Amino acid sequence: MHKLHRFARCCRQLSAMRRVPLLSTNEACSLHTSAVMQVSKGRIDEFFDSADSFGKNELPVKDRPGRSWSVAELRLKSSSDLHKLWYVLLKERNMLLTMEQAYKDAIRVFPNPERLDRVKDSMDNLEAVVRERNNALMELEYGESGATPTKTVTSFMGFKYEKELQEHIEPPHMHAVGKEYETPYLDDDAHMMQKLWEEKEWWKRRNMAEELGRRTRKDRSKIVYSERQLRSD
Amino acid sequence: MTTLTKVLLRASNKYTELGYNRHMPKSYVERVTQAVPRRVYDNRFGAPAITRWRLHPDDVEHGEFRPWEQKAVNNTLTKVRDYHKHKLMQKYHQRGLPQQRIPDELWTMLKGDLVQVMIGKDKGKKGKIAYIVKERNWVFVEGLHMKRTISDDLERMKKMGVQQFPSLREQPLDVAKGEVMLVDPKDEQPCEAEWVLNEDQSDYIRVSKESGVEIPIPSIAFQTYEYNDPKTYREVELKDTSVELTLERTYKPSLSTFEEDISKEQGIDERRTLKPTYWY
Amino acid sequence: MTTRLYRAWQPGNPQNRVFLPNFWIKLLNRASKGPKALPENVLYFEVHPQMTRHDVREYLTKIYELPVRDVNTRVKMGKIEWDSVDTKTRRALWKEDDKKFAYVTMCRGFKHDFPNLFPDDEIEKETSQVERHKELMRNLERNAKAASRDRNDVGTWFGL
Repeated sequence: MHKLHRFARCCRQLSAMRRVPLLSTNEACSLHTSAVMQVSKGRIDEFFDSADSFGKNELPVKDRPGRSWSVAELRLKSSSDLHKLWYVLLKERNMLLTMEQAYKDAIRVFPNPERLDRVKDSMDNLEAVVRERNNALMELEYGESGATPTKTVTSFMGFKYEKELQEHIEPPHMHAVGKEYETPYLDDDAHMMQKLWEEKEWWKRRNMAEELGRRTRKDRSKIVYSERQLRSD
Repeated sequence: MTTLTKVLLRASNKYTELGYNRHMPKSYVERVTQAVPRRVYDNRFGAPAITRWRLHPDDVEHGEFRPWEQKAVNNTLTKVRDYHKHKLMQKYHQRGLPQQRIPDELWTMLKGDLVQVMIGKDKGKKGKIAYIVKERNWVFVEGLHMKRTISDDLERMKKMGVQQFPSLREQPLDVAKGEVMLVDPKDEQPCEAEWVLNEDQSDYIRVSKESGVEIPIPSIAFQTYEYNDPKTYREVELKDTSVELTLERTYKPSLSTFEEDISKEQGIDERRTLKPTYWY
Repeated sequence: MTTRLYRAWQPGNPQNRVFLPNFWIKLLNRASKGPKALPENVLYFEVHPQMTRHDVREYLTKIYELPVRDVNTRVKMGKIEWDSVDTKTRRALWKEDDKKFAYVTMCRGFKHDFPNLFPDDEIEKETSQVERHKELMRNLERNAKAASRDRNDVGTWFGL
């Protein structure tokens, strides 16, 4: 959804989320009360959709929100705009999740559940744009993106995979980590494992191809686009 | 919803996206058809991850209904339940065949096109396309290739005590088998079409392979779940952003990360730096 | 580089800041009466499983401007499907994901009622013809029983 209109209202205090509470609970409470002992409800109404949509199976056409933000459209926006949009989308997502759960509890159909996927797509695209920009700057300044460093590791079974390194405060010699080589000599077990695995995968592909041939011949249907094979998972 | 400007549409094959489900997020359609993994067993010391599906994508049944309609959902949920039960009891489950669908770049049939039926009683007759099911290469032509059938929800009708009357319903025509073909506007004969770049090199147009004449795209082909015509779409007040605001460029490239930009805007002045750590 | 990784913290490091939080929060309906009823100023949320109570407090205070006084969290383990045939070892076959719930106590004086999402149902029930017919039959039955209370279920065909 495109929701830039609520910028000024929603984003006054959207700075970092601290891990240590700023005020004690009593002090925090006194901030929210006035002389007349009226506690503000804050923005709790933003957890709910407009009352027009209550109890409906499907929203009327004029109330259905539009498609998600595309990456091309998000690339036009400044960091500040993207930051604000993120929180607008976050609150929309919370609202939709709340409504979905309420309808589920009442065993009723939630109207237009594609709204959730659209908001998620917008948020994913936004994060992709932010990562793209940061990566570009990092690679320009430091020659590498700030992504988690990885290394190729060969496991005890002989498979190679990308392992993400973990951050430690102490140097490596203080931790007893077994030596991991990129392309070590495989011991007998690992060597046999790899050979047998390859054989098994080959047989899977062969059996699937035979199965496909058998069933299409039985159907007597003309295969026009046979690029795809039966997947073996 | 925004109407994309010419800048964004230049020489891209947007014709592949034309369809009723165009703006429906793919993850939603997958979720509704249950063609999503139930669990992915990763972290197997390099061995490929095992995917346990809710319903394998090859088992999904496509038919004359939108994937999110109740009829489709009920059908798939029984299949999902059976598949899960089979897996728990470690029984054999026969997989469906993979979809042999025509790739999007080669698909030339659009809603509202004039086509000719090539098989059956209505052979040689021309009609307009009413419904398309791309996943099965199906096309339903309005008023042609019909059959007397009883409606699907038999049980419900029986419960309500309504008597069943057979009605005429269009039957699907397979494009891949050549059961239906586009009509050439020049000589009004069945023809095959292909997508080529136009003279300006700005957009793709459909051209008949026989005569080389352009087959125009009917306006109803742009119909989606959200609108019948993109120009008549009205933005929802509190949910949609207007076209002007969306395409307004506020980005100014600078040598600072996103986090630095926001910190500066919020007035967060962080002088401390990260202490060195070891990665292993 | 934007990363979702929590960096290792040492004394003297800058404050850990999250600029694009990926946490979601659902406000749930709570019982108004009975053993599961909560006080007026307590709200019941389902939260992202990785949120701590401090995260929940900051989230609600800053994004929704709610007068949060206290947060308590609870993790509910997902359902396990056990092998019913294998009675000796009873292996676990399938487990659903765990959920985290938060009980958020607001400052005194806070009151919020979950809106009624299906107001038409109640109106329909009140004015439904079926309901009215049922009510009528119930009344008739009650009258007939009262009239024949001394007749030991003999019926109205015999006698006066």
